[in-house]
This record gives sequence, C-alpha cells and structure tokens, in this order.
Amino acid sequence: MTNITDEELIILTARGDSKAFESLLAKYQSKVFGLCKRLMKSEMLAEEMTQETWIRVVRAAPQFKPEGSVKSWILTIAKNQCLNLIEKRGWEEAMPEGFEEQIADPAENLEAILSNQVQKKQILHALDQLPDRQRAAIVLWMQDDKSYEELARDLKTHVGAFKVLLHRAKENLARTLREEGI
Amino acid sequence: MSRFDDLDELLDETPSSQATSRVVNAVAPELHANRERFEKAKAQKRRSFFGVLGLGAATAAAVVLWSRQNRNQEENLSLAGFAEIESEDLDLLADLEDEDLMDLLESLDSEDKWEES
Repeated sequence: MTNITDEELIILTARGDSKAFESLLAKYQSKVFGLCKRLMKSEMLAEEMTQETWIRVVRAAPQFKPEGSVKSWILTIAKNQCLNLIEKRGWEEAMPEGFEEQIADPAENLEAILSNQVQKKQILHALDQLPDRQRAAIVLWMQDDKSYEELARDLKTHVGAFKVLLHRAKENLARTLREEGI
Repeated sequence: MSRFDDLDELLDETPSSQATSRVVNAVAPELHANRERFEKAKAQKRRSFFGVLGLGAATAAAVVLWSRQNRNQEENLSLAGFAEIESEDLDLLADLEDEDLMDLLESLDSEDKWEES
C-alpha cells in the first residue's frame, strides 16, 4: 500500500481492510513496542500492552478525527494503556541501590548523548535502571513535543513535580551512562 | 514529532515476529467487526437512498451523475423538486465516491431486475 497517507490507512482500517491495518502495523509497531517496553520495563508486559494498543486502534478507527497525526494518536493510546496499568499496579518508587546519593554532576550533555544511536543499547539499558516514574517522565519527554503541563497531566501530577521528576531522571540517566563509560 | 530529531527513534524496538503474529491474530475479529459495521452502514445508506428516490436505476443514475456534475444549489434544488427528493439527499448522492456510486447503481439495477421478475 504505497502512496497512501496514514489518515487513509485509518479510514480503510475502520472499514475492516486488513492490508491497510498491516501497513499501519508495519509502519508503527517498533514505535509502539519500543514505547511500551521502556514504560513497562518488561518484554512480556510490553507485548501485552502492544497487543492491547493495536486492538484499541482498530476499535477506535471509525471514530478517528484527523486533528493530530496518526502516529501521535496511536502512541497516545499506547502510552495511556501502559500508564493505566502502571497506575493500577502502583508506581515503583524505590531507587535502585546506590542511586539515593546526592548527584552532583548536571546532565548537561544528556541530549547529545541520547541522540547518538550507536549507543542505543546502553542508553536503553540505562533507562531501564530508572524507577517507574522517572523512567515514564523521561520516556514521554523523549517521545514527543508536548509541553511540561501536558506531560505532567499524563503522569497525573502537577508541573512543578514533573519538572523535578524529569530533572532527577536526567541526572540519574546521565550518571548511569557515565558509569558505563559513555 | 519528537522533542529532538531521532530521539524518538532511540526508543524504537522491533517486536519478535511471533509477537507481531499474535497482534495480527488478536486484531482479526476487530477488523471483521469493523467490516461488518461498514457494510451494514453502506447497505443502510443504499436502502435509504433507494427508498427516498423511488426511481428506476436509469433515472437514478441520470440524477446522480447530473447532480455530481452540476453542483449548483439552485439547479440542485430544482432537480430535487422534480425528482421529489430532499435536497440534502441529493447532496449526499452527489458526494458519493465513485466506488460507492457504482455500488448504489448496481444495487438499484438488481432491485429493478427483482421487481421485473
């Protein structure tokens, strides 16, 4: 299905066209699964959330309104699935051992480090070391261009608390990466 | 849109082919339900047009094609009056995509054949 826009793929999916759905899946499955994996920190739960996300995409396709991008719509569904489950399960607040110390170094070069795809494996591993809320904060922050207010709403917190959370996440991530020699 | 170029790609991870197959299988009944709903809505629309028009296939085709080529409100209203149909329905007919129009005409044609028999 070449030369078909995402919006058209959604319309066709709403009509039950399996080829259109498979095109959407091929295009965005790595984004959905990657986001779920980072938020859930578990292959099994990520697969579960990924599956639930795609079921919801197909169910909601007839009601899709092209206000934002299809990609952003799909990822919002994925994010909500994951955050709802984490919320039900309860956030893991404890820091891994050794992380409670005061962190002195700022995460100045973090954005440059994160943009380096060569170190992807180490970065993803370092992300997985973060506690739930910090990991969710930084993953959502990385994933799109939403404002701090919107991101705070996603995590059901206020903007000040979100900024602190994100700051701590960046510091901890930068520290882990430094320890890994990145 | 990611906060930085390529940053959202950092999060990308391809699931296993088994996981992808499970997604395809899990979604299949939902796609089927969508297909059924869509077909039902289309059939309903067709029936409603046919009922409103009360015309034979040839006349309906002429009305639809004429209105598609002449999106003039005044003329459409006049045509609607002539055909004794609501102008909104005429607009709906004029907005039909080619594929849906062909479906409609085919269904009208089969209705005619059914009535003749």
